[in-house]
Amino acid sequence: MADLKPERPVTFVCDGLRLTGMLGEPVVERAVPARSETPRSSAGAVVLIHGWAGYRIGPHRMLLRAARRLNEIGFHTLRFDLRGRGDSEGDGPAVGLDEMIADSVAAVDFIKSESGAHRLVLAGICSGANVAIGAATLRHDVKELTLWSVLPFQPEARAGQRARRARHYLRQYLAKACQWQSWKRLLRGESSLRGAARTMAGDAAPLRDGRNLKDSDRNLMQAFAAWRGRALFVTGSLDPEGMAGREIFEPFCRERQMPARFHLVQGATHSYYDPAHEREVIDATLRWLQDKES
Amino acid sequence: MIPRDEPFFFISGGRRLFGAWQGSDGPARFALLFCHPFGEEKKSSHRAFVETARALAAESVASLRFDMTGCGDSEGDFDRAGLPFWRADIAAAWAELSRRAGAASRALLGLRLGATLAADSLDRLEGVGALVLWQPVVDGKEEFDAELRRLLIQEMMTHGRSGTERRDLMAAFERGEHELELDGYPITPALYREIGGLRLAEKRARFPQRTGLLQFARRAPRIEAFAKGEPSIDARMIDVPLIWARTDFIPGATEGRRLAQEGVLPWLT
Repeated sequence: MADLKPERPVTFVCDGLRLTGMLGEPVVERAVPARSETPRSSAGAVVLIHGWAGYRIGPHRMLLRAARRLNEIGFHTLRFDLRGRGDSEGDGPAVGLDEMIADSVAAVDFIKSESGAHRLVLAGICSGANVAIGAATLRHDVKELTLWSVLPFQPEARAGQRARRARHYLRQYLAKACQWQSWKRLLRGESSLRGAARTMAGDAAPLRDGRNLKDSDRNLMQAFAAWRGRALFVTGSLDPEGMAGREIFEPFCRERQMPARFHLVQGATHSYYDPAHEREVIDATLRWLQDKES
Repeated sequence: MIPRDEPFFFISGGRRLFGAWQGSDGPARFALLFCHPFGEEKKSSHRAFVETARALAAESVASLRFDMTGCGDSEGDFDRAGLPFWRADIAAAWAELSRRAGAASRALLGLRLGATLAADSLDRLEGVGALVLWQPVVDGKEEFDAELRRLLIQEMMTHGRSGTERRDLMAAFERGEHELELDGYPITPALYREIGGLRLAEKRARFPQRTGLLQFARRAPRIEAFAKGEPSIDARMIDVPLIWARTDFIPGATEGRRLAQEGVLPWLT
């Protein structure tokens, strides 16, 4: 008989801030009659990271259900609140990507000491997946990443936006070039080629207090290229942001021969609201974790 | 001794519910129970509750936040829970608050459907000194239908079409032939009927003398009309984004202080 041992609230400290989480343990195997309980040896430890504005339960409690499924197959889990989110300390509006990465590194230290596990996995959804990549690149002991709806990092996102914007305006200017009125306006000085070039290049992303909070001080794609491990990318086919991420990461991993699997959930949106889509994401993740040879 | 700031679990009807106790700086004059909204609104508003609780702690107000069955970190599945569970949960949380509150006078606060459920629970709770309703759901059926409209619009924007007319969808749903989920939370016909039957005005006779109502960002005609009913309720506005609906808004200590000062303390003191 196997019982799911309840999660317990835990706190740990990063940069002097107390972070709150839920620690889940592997299913306990009970002897019958139940006198002694033997904890199953840990299959590994998974830290689950929520998205930018969420907290430890994830969208529609998806991280909670994922943690329970992981506990059932023998993993320790830690769902925790990044600083300034959920029940953790910190000034929410001021927290940036690098601070979130530091929190996740501390979370790995914490679960490692609590579980004694050697196999360490970082799992994230949306921006949490980007945080997971950033944290994995700072640790030699994290060899596996499961990334749900990962986004392009900011420099790549801006480059992508610039390219899309440039394509859009290029089409407009080409259409205008076929019109005599446009040439007349150009000759009269009412429009300029320099202005057109500026429009196509686009403005820089708006900054908040001089800082884009989703930017990192490091070049995270470069760091990811140097990381040695395997990754599972899961994306919903109806998630434009996630698909933009996939368009960047799929060739990136292929070119570097990084062991990565890309799973597409047909018809799913960014947060996998449909219960069938959520199940598919969790099932695919569990299969991938159980299949170390992939 | 109860720690000043403690995440913990307590029991309601055999189910483990998550609670977060926020003790006050110095002896508590008041103790407040927060009742959360439902579905993704609960996730979105979580931090605003935390910031408000922390700001209240500096004003000698202790508080308990908790997750109802099938919500947040608590046990249970949302689609197997429902109003009877949640009413019992509020009563269990109130008992937990009372145990921890000592001599402090006790008050109840809810947001959206959590406000309606808080009001709905008044006849089961002893010693409610004040009731604070944040953007309450005045009519359960209207609210549900509005959510459904939003769902269909969302579906149209995602798929470029909506496969079903709302009327047909509802008919199939009520016959048990079609499943509904709101942002990942399955809605059963039983839950639809339970929530659809909630009318805030019917609970008015039980409201304590100190009852306040807070609206966010813009006036909602139905809430305005409700507040002006007999006896009238002290209703105020706060210029803070819709904390339950915004997925891009991260409330900080500033918003917490404002919510505490303008959205709670006027009705406690």
